[in-house]
Amino acid sequence: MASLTCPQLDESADVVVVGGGITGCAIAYRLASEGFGAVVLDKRQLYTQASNSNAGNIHQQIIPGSVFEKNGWPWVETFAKTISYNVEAGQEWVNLGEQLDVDIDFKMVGGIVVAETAEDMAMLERKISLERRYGGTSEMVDAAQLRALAPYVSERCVGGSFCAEEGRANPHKAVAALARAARGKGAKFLSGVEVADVRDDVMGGQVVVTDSGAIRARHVVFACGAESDTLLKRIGYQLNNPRRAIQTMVTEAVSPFMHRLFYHARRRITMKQVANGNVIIGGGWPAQHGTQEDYTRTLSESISGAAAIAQDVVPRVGDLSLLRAWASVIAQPVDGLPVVGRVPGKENCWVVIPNNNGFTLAPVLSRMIVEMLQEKRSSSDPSLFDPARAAVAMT
Amino acid sequence: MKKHTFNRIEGSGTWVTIQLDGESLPAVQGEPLAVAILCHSTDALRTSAHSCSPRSPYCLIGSCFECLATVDGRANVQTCLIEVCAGMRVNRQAGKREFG
Repeated sequence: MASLTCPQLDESADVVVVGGGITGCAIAYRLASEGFGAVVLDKRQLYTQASNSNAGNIHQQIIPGSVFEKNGWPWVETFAKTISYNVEAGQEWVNLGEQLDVDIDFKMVGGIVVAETAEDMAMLERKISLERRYGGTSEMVDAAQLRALAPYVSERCVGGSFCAEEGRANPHKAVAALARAARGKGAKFLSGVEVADVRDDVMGGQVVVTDSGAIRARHVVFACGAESDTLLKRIGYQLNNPRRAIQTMVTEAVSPFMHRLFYHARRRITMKQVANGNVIIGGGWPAQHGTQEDYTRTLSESISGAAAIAQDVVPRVGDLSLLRAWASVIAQPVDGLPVVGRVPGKENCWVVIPNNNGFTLAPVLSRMIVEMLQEKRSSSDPSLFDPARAAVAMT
Repeated sequence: MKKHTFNRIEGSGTWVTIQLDGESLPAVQGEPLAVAILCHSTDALRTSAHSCSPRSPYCLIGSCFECLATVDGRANVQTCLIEVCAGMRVNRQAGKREFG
């Protein structure tokens, strides 16, 4: 056994969760709530990667803009199947703060998509009818309705769409609250512990071999976001799951003027004003990602590109100073669907990799995986997210 | 001159006059504006954008954003990063800035 070669971490658990981001923390919270002993391992500090650098949006709709241009409609038609899961997640977020007894700055503010041309409007109509098939609730708005919802938009905006069931939360408060609640129910969190291997235990279950010793567990759940490929490779699975470095930026705080999430039908921009008054500007602009795992750098052309569109469609944003830009690395499954389920051929190993809606979906994906490892029937169909489609066993 | 926690070295440079909320105060041409403000008074310079708690210049190297003020009509200027010029009009801020 591993204990012969490395010092024993004095731990055993029903479930070891690898990865202490929002997904891992949400899983630990669910497990602990149902009476399972959970131990969360993170090779760094808890929630310091994508969970710490995302904008905290709770999306329902397909974020338009460059997604369509880059991937085309067939891809979007597959991606649209996640809408029903987003809808479910939105309902969970409504109650999450109260459930955790913490103010996580959650607000169902709704999301506006602006259109500048007739082509933009036609595209939105097509997008909305696709989303409606999966429970989406967006509606088209004309120029007057748009200005009633968002008086600050540029004169060139001819209309757009509005989805009332979208919101925002403070991502830092939300993930910390989940971890605290999990801890309160008995879950343990160990940071600075890196997983090297997971072996079948002769006694049944799994032995998680780490750089600080081994932990026995009945189940192991991998919830390591962009680093899932690296981790799953260690147990013999190669995932076809690229990662992508994107960047976000924030302006100085200003009196509230933008109350909803803001998107553009065609151009690469997302905006929202957070509770502190700062405006967060994103849209998936590329950042630089070095060969070294932790190395990211913001790109000045992405900063100026996002800033130019932002002030073009919301002129008063041009009056605000930018404070900071930051990069993060996200997992981006090729087909846009999360990966949730049993690692193929590994009875007690599970994996959860979100798509680019990791923050939104954490309450739903965590519930799905906890139901699956108890062999419970899930209320959300997990077959769509089957890991087998993305994983190839290495020989 | 009245003595405060912050005092300039004698013979620092050319004295000019700036305005803080309409009050005239002496400052040395070219010194960081935050320094001129601290030498005048260590009372709170602003209240914060979110909690409206009192704030004053802190790091003096452009990192902390505590020294924000409205300078010549422009809000949220980091006063530690700009130099004093004769006739500068500085206003204390309360909470979040407004659109100009």
